[in-house]
Amino acid sequence: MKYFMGVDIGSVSTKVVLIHVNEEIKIVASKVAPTGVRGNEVANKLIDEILMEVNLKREDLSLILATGYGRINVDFTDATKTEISCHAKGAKYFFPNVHTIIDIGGQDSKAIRVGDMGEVLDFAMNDKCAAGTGRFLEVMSHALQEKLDNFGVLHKEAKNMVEITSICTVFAESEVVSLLAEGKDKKDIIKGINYSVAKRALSLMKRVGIKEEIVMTGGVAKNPGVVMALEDLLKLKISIPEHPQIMGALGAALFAKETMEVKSGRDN
Amino acid sequence: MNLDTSKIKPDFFKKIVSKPYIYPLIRGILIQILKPDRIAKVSINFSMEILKKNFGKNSTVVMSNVFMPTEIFYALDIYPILPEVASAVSANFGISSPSLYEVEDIVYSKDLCSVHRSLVGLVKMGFLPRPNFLVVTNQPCHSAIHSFFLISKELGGDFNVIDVPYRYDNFTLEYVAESIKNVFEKLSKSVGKRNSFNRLRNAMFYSNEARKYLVEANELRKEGVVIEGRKFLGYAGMIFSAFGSRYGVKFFKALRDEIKERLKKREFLPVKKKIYWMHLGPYFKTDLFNWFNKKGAYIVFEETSKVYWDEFDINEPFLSLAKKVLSSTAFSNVDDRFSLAMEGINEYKADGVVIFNQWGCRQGAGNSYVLRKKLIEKGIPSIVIDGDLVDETNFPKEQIKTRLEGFLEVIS
Repeated sequence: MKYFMGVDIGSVSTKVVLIHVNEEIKIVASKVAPTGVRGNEVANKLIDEILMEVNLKREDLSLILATGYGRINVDFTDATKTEISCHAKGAKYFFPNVHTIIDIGGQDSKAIRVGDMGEVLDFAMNDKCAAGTGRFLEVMSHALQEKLDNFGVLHKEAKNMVEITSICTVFAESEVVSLLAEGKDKKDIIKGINYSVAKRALSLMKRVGIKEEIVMTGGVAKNPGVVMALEDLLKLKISIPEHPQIMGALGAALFAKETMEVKSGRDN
Repeated sequence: MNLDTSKIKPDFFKKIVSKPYIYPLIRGILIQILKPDRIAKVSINFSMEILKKNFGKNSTVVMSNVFMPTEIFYALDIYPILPEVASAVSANFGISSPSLYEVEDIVYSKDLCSVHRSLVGLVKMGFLPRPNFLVVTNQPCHSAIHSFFLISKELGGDFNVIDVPYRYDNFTLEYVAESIKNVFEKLSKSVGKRNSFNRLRNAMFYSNEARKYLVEANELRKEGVVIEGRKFLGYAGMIFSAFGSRYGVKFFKALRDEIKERLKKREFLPVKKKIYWMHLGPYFKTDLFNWFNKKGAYIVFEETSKVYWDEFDINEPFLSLAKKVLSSTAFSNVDDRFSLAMEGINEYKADGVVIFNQWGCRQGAGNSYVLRKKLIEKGIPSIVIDGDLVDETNFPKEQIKTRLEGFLEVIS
């Protein structure tokens, strides 16, 4: 009986997942908190909170593996893997037939093509700016003074769509402010924003080649507006895990398990 | 020991060559401090010679872009300044940021290649001497003709263009040969050198010698990695600028000998993943390659190190030089680059390809995704990295590391 932990320190949020491996793999607990400026500290706090909840100690963990942008400078493990491999691994766990993953996080978005065994065949990431990421949506939410959680509902209620032409987050913000000043309907603007993110995602997916089943991970997958827009552009159904945000951390936990298995194999 | 080169002032080079005793002193200090290997020692001597020839009194200063056959200049005892190489060196010295800042009132669009923006900035800051003569090819790099024109406007100098057609056939070969000949004759007249054609044959002999050593070095590299490939991205400066000079011969001989010796001593680097590198790489100080090496990934061969031109027929100097200009495969169309890459991947047994995109480079970045697709279709894992050769503000290190690390996980 073994416990493994995956820690995904992203630019916006830190996610921790604890799994238990016996005959089968079980997700024991997970936690999400804003990363802020001290990713390592937040990650340690989440690790301790989870361990306290399930009455375990750090020594009970076989291995912790870190992923995400903050993976490099952590004091609790040397084992790391990129979020590319981890999201693929996490998505494969819930959707065994997955072949294409679109992950939209706070700072970057990525399309990942995986083979039948879940191996990463190819990936593409967003350019050097925040266009088409969670940060873009956050800025738009601020400009519209509308909660991000409402973007899905308002998208559905929109009668038309206002196209957002600028992909630069800063310029798009001023475009949105101008559209509001012109008296455009907020719901129509939100639909346009969701489509703008979906179009960026689609262009990444095209780079790696689209093959079903398609799974969306990352915090933006919680916005049904973006999911609907992307499904409309793809003309294909997208599968969403119950907790899309923790897929990277789950993948990291699964890699921790594999790492230990390889190590034990070597030791034996 | 590291030198803080970022504090170098524009008149530094002029001061070095102004007094006869300073020049050898600086050279001696550099060798003492940097403790260069035999390869770097030749580069230091070559660089000092370039300074002496260009910053001294009554120097004939020629600026030329990296696609010009430098043999025509060395034939006339001219050590050309290649501003693109100067731009890369300034990035390594840590002075490209000020040069990119200085240029903003001349070149408004940041969309232009940073190497060329930086070199115009270097000129404006006074780092480069006033040229008497500028000669530039209009292919394959699209930016050079504009930046060189700006330099001539800013500093003066006779501005000359070698028109290089896209196609390579008998007509274009003779056309380019004639253009090179015209420029050579004009320059010979200007500097008043006698026996210029014999001198050109001599320079071409040197060039053939240097070529022979580079071919041998590349051949030896197939036996294993004993010198990091990123150093070869730096040696590209010598490939662009030293052919036709005696320093070119010395440099590539030293390179060949060093590789041979290290192979003999079996000083192999701990290579786990072999990377074929396309285009050039970042020239400013970055830990990217150290980080890359720590992951066991090493560049085994670079697109720019390939000897793509035939040995010169010194009895047909201009036709030979024109052939070299027209047959540049590394900086060419997608089909030629693809063939070159496949050859390099097979010969050096590369596990994957990194295609480096230089910001604003239409020639390189324009076809990189098509190139990547073609490589992937052949089963070669490939990644395009959008970065910058000289502008570190346009080089998001952590994002690039994530992409490269993800790529290494793919090829593992």
